[in-house]
Amino acid sequence: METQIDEENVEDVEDEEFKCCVCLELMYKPVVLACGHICCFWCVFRTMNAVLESHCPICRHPYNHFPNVCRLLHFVIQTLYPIAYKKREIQVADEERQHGHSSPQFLEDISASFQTAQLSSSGSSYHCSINSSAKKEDHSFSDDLSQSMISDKHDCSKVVSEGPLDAEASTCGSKVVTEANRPDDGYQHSTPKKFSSVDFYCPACKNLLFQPVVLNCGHVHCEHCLSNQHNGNLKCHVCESPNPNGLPKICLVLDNLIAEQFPELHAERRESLLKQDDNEKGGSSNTASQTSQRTTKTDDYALWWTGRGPKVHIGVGCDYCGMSPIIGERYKCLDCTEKIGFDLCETCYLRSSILPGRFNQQHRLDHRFEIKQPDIFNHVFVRQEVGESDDDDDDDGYSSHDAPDDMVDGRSNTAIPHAPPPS
Amino acid sequence: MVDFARVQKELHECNKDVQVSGIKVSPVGGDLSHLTGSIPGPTGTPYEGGIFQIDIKLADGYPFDPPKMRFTTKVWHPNISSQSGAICLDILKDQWSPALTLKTALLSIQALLSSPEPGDPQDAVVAQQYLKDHQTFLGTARYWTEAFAKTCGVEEKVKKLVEMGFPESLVRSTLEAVGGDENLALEKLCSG
Repeated sequence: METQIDEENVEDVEDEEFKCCVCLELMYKPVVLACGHICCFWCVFRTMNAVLESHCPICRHPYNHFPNVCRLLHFVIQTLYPIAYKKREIQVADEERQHGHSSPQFLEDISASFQTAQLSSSGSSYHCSINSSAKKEDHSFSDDLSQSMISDKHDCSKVVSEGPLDAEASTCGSKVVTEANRPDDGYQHSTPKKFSSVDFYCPACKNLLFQPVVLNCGHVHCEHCLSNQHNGNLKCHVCESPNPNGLPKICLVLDNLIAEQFPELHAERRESLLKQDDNEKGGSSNTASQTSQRTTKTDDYALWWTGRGPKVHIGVGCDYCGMSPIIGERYKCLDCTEKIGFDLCETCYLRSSILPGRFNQQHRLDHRFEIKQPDIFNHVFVRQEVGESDDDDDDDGYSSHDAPDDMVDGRSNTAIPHAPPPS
Repeated sequence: MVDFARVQKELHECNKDVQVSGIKVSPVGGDLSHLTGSIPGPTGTPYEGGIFQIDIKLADGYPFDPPKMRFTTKVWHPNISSQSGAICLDILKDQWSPALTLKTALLSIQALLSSPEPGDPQDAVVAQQYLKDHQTFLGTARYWTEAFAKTCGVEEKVKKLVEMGFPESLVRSTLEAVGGDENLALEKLCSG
C-alpha cells in the first residue's frame, strides 16, 4: 500500500500546473491572489510581509489582503489527485499540530458536498456560513461553531434576508439539475472526464465560467460578470462580501482547466460573449477601467511612515477580509482562545457578519471586542529595522498576530461588546 | 528552520537537466544548509570557458529568506568583489522571492556575468576600470578566467610546479589554498 501511494505521488508531481511555487509540492488549500497566481494557504501566509504590503511570490504584484481559500480549486485538485492530496492533508495537519495553528476546515468529503451545495442553491449555501446555518444545511465548519451559529440564528437571519440570491437561487438550482441530467457521483469514478460542468458554474450568470477571476473571499466568477458592476464596489455574488482593490486578474490555471475539460461549452461561451461585446460596444474598455482602478494602500503606508496618517497594526491581519496589516482601528476579540487570536478591521467589525476566521477560530457573535492601539515599541523598532526585517522567517512572522498583545501596552482600551448589526 | 524537503526537491530538479543548463548544485557535507553550485561562464563574454564555483549557505528562513551566495572562484567583474567573492544582485537581497530557487538564482548570477552593472558596483576598482578602460577590463577578466576558473588547467599547473621540484601533495594543497593561482602558489611554496 505504501509503495502504491509513493508511485501515485511521483506521478502527480509531474504536473507542474498544480505545484506550489513556494513549497514545490502539490498545492494544498489553494489561495488565489489578486494577480491570479495560486499558492498553498500556508505558503501565502508565510510569504506575507507583516510590516508592509505583501507581494506575489511569482509576479511581485502587491497585495494587502490575505485571500480566502478557493474551494473550487481545492475541489479540483482533490479530484484530480486524491491520493497525493490526502497525503498533503496529513502532512499539513501534522505541521499545524506542531505550530498550534489551524487552516480553514472543510467537510471531509468535499466532492460530495460541493456538488450538492451547488445544485441545491447554485452555490449560495455551501460557501456562506450565514445561509448554511440558517437553513441548517450541511456546512463546512466544525461542530462547535455550527452549534453556535444555529443558536445565533436569530441574528443571522437578518443578514440572510438581505441576500437577494435566495429566491432566484432555488429556481436556478433546479434548472441546473435538468441541464446536467447525469448521476451525481459521475466524477468520482476515475473516468477521463472527472468533472461536471455544473461544478464550474458562475454564480452570477449561471453559465460555465469564462475567464474566471477568484475574489478575495475565494469565490469564482466570470471576469465579464464582475466587470459589469460599474460602481466600483465589487461584491461577491455568493457571500456578498465586498472585494478590496478592484477586479482581480483572470486565474489562468483555472481558465485552462475549464477550456480543457469542456472544450465545446467553453468555445460556445467565448462566442456568445464576443457577440455580446459587439452589441454593447465599450464592454472591453469597461474591464480596462475597472482593472486600472486597482489601488493599493501604498499612500497609507507612506503617511504612516512619516508618523501621520492612519494606524497600522504591524503583524496583525483581519480575520474576515484578510487585510494585513490592519490599517485603521483594530478590534481584537477578547473571548477567542486560539493562540493566533482573532482580530477584525473596522469595516468587517461594522458589518458584523459571522464567518469563520482565517485560521478556523471559533469566533461567535456574543464574543466581546476591544479596540487595540498599535504597539508603539514595535513601531519604533520596525521603523529602525525596516529594510532588514521585511521578510518573516517562518509562520511565526504573521502570528506575531498576538505578539504585540503580549507586550504590555497600557493603552489597550476597555472591553466593548460586539455592536449589533446595523439594521 | 530551512525547508529541507524543498531543498531536496530543488537539488533533484536542478541535477535532472544539468546537461542543458550546465548548472550544478551539490551539498557540502551531509548538511543541506551548506551547498556549492557551479555555473559555466556565458559564451561571448570574457568568462567563457570557465567554471565558477559558488558557495551557498541557506539561512534558517529559506526559502522565505534569500540564500547567501558568494563566489569561491576569483572573478573580475564590477558586481562581484574581487577580494571576497561577494555578489551584488538584487534578487539575493530585497528582491528575493520564495518562488525563486537555487537554480534560478544561479541562472541570474550567470546572467549577471554577461551583463555587468557598473552603475551599482560591488567592486569599485573593477567598475572604474570597466567604465574607463574597457579593453584592460576585458583582458583582466579573461586572464582571471584562465587563471582561476579553468578546472582543466589544474593538472597542468600541478605538473609545472612538480617539475620545479616541489612535492606533489604540497603543490596541490598550496594551489587549493590560494584559489588555483599558479603564481601565488609558487610564491607561497618558495617562501616556505
